[in-house]
Amino acid sequence: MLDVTLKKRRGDIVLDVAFTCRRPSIMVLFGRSGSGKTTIVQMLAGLVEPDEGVIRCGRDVLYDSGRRISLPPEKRGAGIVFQERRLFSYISVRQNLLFGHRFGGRPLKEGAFDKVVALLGLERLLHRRPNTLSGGEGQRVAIGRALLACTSFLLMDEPLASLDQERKDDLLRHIDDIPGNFGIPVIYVTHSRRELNGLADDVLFLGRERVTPAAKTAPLYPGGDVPTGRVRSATY
Amino acid sequence: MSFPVWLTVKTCVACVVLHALISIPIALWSSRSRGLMSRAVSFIVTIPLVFPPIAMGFILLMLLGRRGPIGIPLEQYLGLRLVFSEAGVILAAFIAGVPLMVRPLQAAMERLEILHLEEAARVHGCPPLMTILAVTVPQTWNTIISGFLLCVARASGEVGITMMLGGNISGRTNTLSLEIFNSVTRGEFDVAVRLCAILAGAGLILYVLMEKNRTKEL
Repeated sequence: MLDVTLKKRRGDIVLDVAFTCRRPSIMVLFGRSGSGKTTIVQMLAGLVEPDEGVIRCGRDVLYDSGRRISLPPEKRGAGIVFQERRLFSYISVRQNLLFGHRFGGRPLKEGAFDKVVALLGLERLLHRRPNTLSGGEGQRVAIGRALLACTSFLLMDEPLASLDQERKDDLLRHIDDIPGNFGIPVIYVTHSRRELNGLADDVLFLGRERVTPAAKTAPLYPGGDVPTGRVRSATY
Repeated sequence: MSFPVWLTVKTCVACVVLHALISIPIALWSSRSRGLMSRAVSFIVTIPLVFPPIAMGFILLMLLGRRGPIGIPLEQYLGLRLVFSEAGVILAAFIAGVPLMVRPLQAAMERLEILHLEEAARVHGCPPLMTILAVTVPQTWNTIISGFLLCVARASGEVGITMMLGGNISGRTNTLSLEIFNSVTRGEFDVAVRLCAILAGAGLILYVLMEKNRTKEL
């Protein structure tokens, strides 16, 4: 269970969000560019300090402004996939996948490596260098690296934005399988309705007005398949 | 002729060690800090690049000499005498190379790509020091290697600062480059030609290594 309440002032607007992500599920942060989606991911990862709020993952308090607790990024147990793949070019795909275990001391469960490699279809890429991978292959490796390093929750910040439609469809299938296979909450940022429809168990809409989830979700799900929103507020 | 060659090799090796221990951390720190202190350090490390070596050597001689404001406490408390010694020669070559190591490396480490990779490493469990060792240094390795090669080239050819700080004492502080100057003033042109050939050979090797490093994909 990931329980988040965050406030952050950016210029003259205030990002004010609260949500709960039950495990295992995919919580989609949906909104236009500039709506603060990436800032939320950065705050969850510990890369940006919120003005105030609380981030709890199960029993662990990762951030609590009132109690002056702010764990550094390496102690939050998160995995992250960025829009760009951000792979380490001086080591092989195998070493990239094991980066969190080897250099970050993250535990590696027995059989986890083989499971991730099989799930993402990375068998033939293991000895290659990241610079020789295509866009889709590189992003699959980035997802694998994050999955193997992740012990608490997985953050995905528009991971498909730079790929063509065919690669997107292929990776969507892989991403959809993650919560069921690994039992972790996934926070997924996108501005694509296609990705929202394909992945969301829960959804947090970010807009410029106070959001009424039902009003926003209804037109997106004409078939009535509306995800159970856990949005408490998303205000500017 | 063998002493100047030996002293030059020793100076170059010592410079590589000093740059690894001092210049790389300076480049890293100044690329991550935006304060007044970091700008002051950036200015200081650039001075040897824009200031004439002979004048630079003279200022260092005034500062580090037996009556200089830094030289007095160094000799009094540490028993260290830098001027007119091998240590002075090494210091001169090191100072001349500092901007060649720090400036390009600073620029490489400031690149958004490196900062992004560091972020990825931190979120995946790397503490700050491990991030430097496992990401920042290996991802900027080409720049570090080319910095070392440039500094060795600069150290082997340094004259101005070395002459002032080292004193060009025969058998003690006369490096290869200084010995070329000494041979010419003595009229021993054949010796000067041989020394030039050694420096040219070393320069050629350094150039080939630099080119190989430049075209090597990380």
